Amino acid sequence: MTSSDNPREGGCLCGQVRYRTEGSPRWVLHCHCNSCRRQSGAPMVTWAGFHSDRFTWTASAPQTYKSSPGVERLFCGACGTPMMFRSERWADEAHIAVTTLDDPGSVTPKGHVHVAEKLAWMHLGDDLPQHDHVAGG
Amino acid sequence: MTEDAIPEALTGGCQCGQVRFAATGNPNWVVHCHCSLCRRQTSAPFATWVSVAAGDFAWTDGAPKIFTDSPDRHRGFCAACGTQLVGLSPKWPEEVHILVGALDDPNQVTPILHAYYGDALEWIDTHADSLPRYATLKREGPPLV
Ligand SMILES: [Zn+2]
Ligand SMILES: [Zn+2]
Ligand SMILES: [Zn+2]
Ligand SMILES: [Zn+2]
Repeated sequence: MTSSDNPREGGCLCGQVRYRTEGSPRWVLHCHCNSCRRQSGAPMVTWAGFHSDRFTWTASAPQTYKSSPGVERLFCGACGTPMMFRSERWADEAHIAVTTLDDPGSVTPKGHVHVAEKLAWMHLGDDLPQHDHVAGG
Repeated sequence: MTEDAIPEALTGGCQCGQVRFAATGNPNWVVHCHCSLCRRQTSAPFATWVSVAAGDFAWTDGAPKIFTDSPDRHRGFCAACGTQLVGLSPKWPEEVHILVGALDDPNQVTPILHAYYGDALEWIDTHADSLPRYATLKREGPPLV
């Protein structure tokens, strides 16, 4: 694997926070949990799990909010754009909100998680697998 | 809901609890927006907005930080936890647009249409709902088929 394997870049609305990641995401999933909804304001958030050792902030670093023990939600302090979810449970993964990628179309969601918390008026038209909580239990 | 039913107040706020709001009265509209700017603000594939009358809306705890990405688009979020809360604009001074995820109970409101579906991400499929999908805004042409 070369150091320029499958590079992707992304950033916040105002451009102060930028990042670069390499390698394919381990997974790409739509999350319907209350916590993602609350941070983003949107009905669901789509996340990609990249290897944390192949992820770097390339401009300003984001601000960190500890949403629960061992869990951090990172956002741009200037414009508020939600950027990253980080958890001790998945310490080797950088979970990136895919619409912060410069090209969100470069990744493809493979399923829905936390469907138990999905809003009543969200009707999913795709055939992707739906997990009540997390994928694989 | 009957015509003379008194609507329940909409309450909401950020994940850390420093910023809280309340809105009375019926929303003007509840709309899914697939435009790239809404995607950028929320970091989600699309945003769902609830328009309420500015006179019916109040911050009940704290106040959001406002980010102005263009003269017409002001976004309010909690500076402490980053929660996205509202959209404001001098183009619609009589309205406050609340992000549905900021509500304590997003199931209290019901979306009526999809706007800017022409900009939707290709892997977003909302065809399981029966709502009309507009390429841009409803006033700018008939729904997509
Ligand atoms: Zn920013
Ligand atoms: Zn979630
Ligand atoms: Zn907050
Ligand atoms: Zn929009």
